[in-house]
Amino acid sequence: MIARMPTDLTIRPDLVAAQAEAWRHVTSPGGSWTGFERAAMAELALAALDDADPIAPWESATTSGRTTAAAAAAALPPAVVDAVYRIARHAATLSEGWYQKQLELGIDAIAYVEMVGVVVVIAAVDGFFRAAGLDRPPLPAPTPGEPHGRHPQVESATLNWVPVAAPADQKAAVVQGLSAAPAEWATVALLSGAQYIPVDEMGELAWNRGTLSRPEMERVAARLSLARECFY
Amino acid sequence: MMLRASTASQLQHPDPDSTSDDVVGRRSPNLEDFVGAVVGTDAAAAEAARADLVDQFGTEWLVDASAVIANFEMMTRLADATGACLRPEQLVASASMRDELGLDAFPSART
Repeated sequence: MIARMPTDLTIRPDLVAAQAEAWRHVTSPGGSWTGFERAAMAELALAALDDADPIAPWESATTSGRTTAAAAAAALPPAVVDAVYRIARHAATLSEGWYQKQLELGIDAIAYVEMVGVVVVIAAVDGFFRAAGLDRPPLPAPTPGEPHGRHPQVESATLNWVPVAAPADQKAAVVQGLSAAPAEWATVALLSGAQYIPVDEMGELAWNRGTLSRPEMERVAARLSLARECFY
Repeated sequence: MMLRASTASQLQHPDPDSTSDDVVGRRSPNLEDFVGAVVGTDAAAAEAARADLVDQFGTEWLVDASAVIANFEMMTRLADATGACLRPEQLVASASMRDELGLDAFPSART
């Protein structure tokens, strides 16, 4: 999956490996969703990110008649299709009331967390290729199989809307947010180590790869977070 | 910074903008402009920003800056979709900065 530009741009092997593992992961069975369902979420998220004229946050992707990944949308309940689009394209507009409505619409809380894990990994890999001006690699074919159904003991948190692995609120909100779906967090951590900083180096403010210094990484992070209007 | 996950460690340092010895005084690209261009909607501006970064600093910079962008395309959505909130002490510590930057006006503000 090494992509090259005319300028002979080569992607670091650790980043290529992490992205390839992430692509394999999102199209494989998870704890609550089959590989086909997760691949459909991934296709929908990519379609949302590619949408040149995005559907407004308050509109439904399913009833708009503009869903570009029709086959993927047909594989999932309408509430999931709408949620995937909203998270991929308008994450800053989400509220606790919106999250509670997703549960009322029938999305299981732990399945919701897994769905978030799929969408954020898609946003990462897509985001790299989009920023670098490279063609995004295609998703692999879904891996057949049923969800394994194994989940950690979870409890309510004060730092997140979603349930988290017990004990709650011992870690930062962004770290415990996917803990109800540990394989999703593991993939995020793998990507983060290749894209940004290995988790165990987070406290090392002089850490760098030889190009961007840590403060320069933080400038990129802050500017991107501003563009996405992310308060956290 | 994994968003605010590393805030605690940063607060232990009086100058979070300090740089390590190997990068002090070196020439540095305008990364804010690069990010703004490549996540914006103007394809020509994005391509020009990439070309400028590569011409001045090399292809490794394009890869590594794009990788950090990718990380925060991931982490911002993770935070917002899981309803990540700051701890009370983080809210207190960040109050003046939030006020100065207008962060409390973000739709994603959960204070």
